[in-house]
Amino acid sequence: MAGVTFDNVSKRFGETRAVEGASLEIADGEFFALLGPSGCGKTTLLRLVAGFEIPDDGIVKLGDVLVGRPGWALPPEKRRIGMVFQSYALWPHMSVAENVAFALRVRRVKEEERVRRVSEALEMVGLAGMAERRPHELSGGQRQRVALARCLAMRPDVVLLDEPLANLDVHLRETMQMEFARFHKELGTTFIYVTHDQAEALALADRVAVMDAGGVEQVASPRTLYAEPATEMVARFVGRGIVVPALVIGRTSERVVVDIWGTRLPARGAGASGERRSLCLRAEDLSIATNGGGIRGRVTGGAYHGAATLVTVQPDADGAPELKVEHAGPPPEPGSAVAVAARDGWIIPRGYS
Amino acid sequence: MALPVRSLFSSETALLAVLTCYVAALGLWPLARLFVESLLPGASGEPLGLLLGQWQSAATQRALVNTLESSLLATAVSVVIGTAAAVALTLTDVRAKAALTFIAMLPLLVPSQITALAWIELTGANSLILGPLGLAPAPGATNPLYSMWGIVLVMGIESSTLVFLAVRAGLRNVPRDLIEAARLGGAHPLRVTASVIVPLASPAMLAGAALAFVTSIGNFGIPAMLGIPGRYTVLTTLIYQRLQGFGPRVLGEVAALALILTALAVIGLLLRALAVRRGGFATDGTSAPLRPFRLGRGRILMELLLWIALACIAILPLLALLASSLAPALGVPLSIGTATLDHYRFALFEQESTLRAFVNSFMLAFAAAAVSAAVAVPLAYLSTMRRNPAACALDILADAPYAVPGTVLAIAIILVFLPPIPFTDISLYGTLGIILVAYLARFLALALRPTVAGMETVSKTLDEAAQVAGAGVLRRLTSVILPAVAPSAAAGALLIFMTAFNELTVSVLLWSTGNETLGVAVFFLHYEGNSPAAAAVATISIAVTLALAFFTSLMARNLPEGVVPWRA
Ligand SMILES: Nc1ncnc2c1ncn2[C@@H]1O[C@H](COP(=O)(O)OP(=O)(O)OP(=O)(O)O)[C@@H](O)[C@H]1O
Ligand SMILES: [Mg+2]
Repeated sequence: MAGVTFDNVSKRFGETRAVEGASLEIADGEFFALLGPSGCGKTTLLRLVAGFEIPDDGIVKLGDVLVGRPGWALPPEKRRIGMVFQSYALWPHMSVAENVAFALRVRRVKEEERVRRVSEALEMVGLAGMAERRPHELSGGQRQRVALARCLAMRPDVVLLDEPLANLDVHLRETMQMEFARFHKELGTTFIYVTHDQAEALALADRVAVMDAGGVEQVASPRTLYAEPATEMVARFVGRGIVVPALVIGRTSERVVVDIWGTRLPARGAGASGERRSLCLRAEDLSIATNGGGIRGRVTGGAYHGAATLVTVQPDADGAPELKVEHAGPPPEPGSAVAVAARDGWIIPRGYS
Repeated sequence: MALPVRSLFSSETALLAVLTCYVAALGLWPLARLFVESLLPGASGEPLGLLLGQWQSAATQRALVNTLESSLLATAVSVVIGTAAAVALTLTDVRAKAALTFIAMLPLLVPSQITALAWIELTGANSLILGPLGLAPAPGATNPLYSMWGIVLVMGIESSTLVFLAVRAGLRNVPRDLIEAARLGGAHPLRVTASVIVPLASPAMLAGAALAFVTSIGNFGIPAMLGIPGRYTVLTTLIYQRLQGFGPRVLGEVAALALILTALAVIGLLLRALAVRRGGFATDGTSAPLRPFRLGRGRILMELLLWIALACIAILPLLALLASSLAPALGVPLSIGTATLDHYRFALFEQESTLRAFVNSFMLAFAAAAVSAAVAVPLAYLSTMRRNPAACALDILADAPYAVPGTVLAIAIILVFLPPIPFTDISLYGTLGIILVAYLARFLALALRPTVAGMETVSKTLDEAAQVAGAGVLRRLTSVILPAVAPSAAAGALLIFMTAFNELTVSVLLWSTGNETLGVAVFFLHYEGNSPAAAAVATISIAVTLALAFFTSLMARNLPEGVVPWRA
């Protein structure tokens, strides 16, 4: 068991800065998610943990042991790391049991113990009956489970998962998410889970690091990340927040009062009177005002989501971004003039657009 | 968990070092040595004396002119035949394409000296095929093929396969939508072929022609069988005759000749690289492949033409060879009743050296195939999967001993392995060992190319998964990589076996009594005037080759694209 530390790590591929000055402390036994848009460097960060990449700058530690520094990295085969690849990377010429047993064979685990651990791992992922099958005789979800069993059987210090569910359909994805949560609880090993699906990250992880363009934007618990995004990028990426410009005009006992396009709103966060800040608004905190008070705009569309309709409203103010409003009941006609009221907002601590 | 600080992938570095030593010692060092040797001063000490001396000698000049002349004309022949066959088989809807393709490929599978022998049997005064038709030369007349034109014809037919393969690949890469656009523009298929397809496929044809030229320059079997009796000497046969006549003491001079030969080959290869680069635009590979044009009523005519032409080129000579191997005494017509296996019996049981040659060639081919495949797998792994820059360079350099003419490599090998191996008093010269060394150097490329092609289809994550599982580089090679690329490496090994089993160009310069190869045996049986016995041995070795080729084709169905060269 071990935690993972990144201290100011950078990794470049030619001109591309895949990871830039990333610092992270991942605690022993934590379920940690790396979240971010495509190409932001998640996989590269994971490969730095595994030892496939050598950092250009900074250091990587597994537990207390230095495993990566500029120009040097402990080879992957010398680390006790388990990895579930997006493509599963099952060895096609080996049966399920042989795939799972491989790492144990390499480590010269005694036959008796090996057999026990293989069947334990297969049992755990619910594939006890399929030990003799070849990978091509399995469904996508079953292959995923074999990949996981293969990684669990070797009892790694850290388990790395690179978008493990990306190739599965929506239903299977939900089932596997619950399984991952269960494995983590039972094993207590550190999990580092890469995904670009924010719902997955929020549902599974103890803490989430949001990355953008090679850098770490924010590290926080899912709740904090959603309620108090540290940057505009996080606000937009997590929970599809809308970022609008706001002027701080004062404060009540626990709220800051801000002005957006002439409408006053109570907001959380810090800000001094007269400051121009960015405000994060969430669809569920907005409503179509019946009494006429609020941000004036025109309805531009609506998407039915079952429990509610997500109504889009274009504010009348110049250059204002479209707002998304969660609305129960029949939505207003597109083109009609409405006012949008806000119950809550979050003043983004860093940056102003 | 106290960890030693050591460089990344140190066992990979060790593996790379071993591979580098192998490639360098067998191929690169001898070639470098030849280069240096040929640039040494002459007997009286003038700089570049050896090279200048050779360059200025009348014999060299004549051989050089002959080499260029025969190779260029043979290339023209091969372009005509190869392009015609490729266009007919790719662009039209003739039937039985697989069978026709196989026949068009036959010249690639039959070794030069046997092709030449077969043609000699076909066109000689005693031809058992043309004789009964009244077409054979008059008794006592010299064979018309013992001439420059004979060499041009046979060499052209042999290298037509290379043009065929290149043009076929080029035609297949012409995107279908370009052709369909031209037809929608109102163009007739012939017009489309002339104005769209041919221009797009012409770089491929040029590349094929350049390759045919390089192969012709380095050809030994055909000019030796046809040119020596016809007193038409080219560079490869000049080198052979010099070494044969004067032995190792003329090594410096033949090294200079070899350098001239190498220069010609390099020019040809550069032309080819240029043509391939120019062809790049046609190969975007995203569009659907070409669909053959319908010939309608003309199809049967085209089929007839193809069958007759290919039969004359590829099958008739082999039939003549077979007939001659079964021929009864001179003058008795061949029939089922008069056919005899005497020549086979003589060659196999009465002449010890032939049987020995079979055994030697079998062992050499087997060892060359097995060792080369065993070296190709780790080398392809480091270059293709690990993208190790040094291994990538080695991967390219490993082609050099195959790219230069076999004669050149043989001389390079003699230069390095004639003296005793350092720290021992063993010399490989005069043993089978020196032939094996030459084969290992020459044929590594044949195993490497298919193995690299196979390796490219294996996902890198399979290797990485084994790495996180704790497996070191050797373990990963044996447990994960080898099973994945074994079929491709095996195809490469079979290719080596087929080539080495019948090899003549290299072994004719390296053999010694007791260490003959099959190619040498056929060559000398014919040379000594026992053509029927030569035909019998040649027939057996073709049978072995074709059986292996057939086996490889069966295997090819499960192999990635590009692994087996003649796959239809
Ligand atoms: N081996 C490589 N060589 C060159 N560039 C690379 C290499 N690996 C990654 N990159 C580049 O580094 C950047 C980060 O890549 P990375 O794979 O880490 O992104 P990612 O966050 O995992 O994206 P995705 O969600 O699409 O998988 C990208 O711009 C990518 O093109
Ligand atoms: Mg990725």
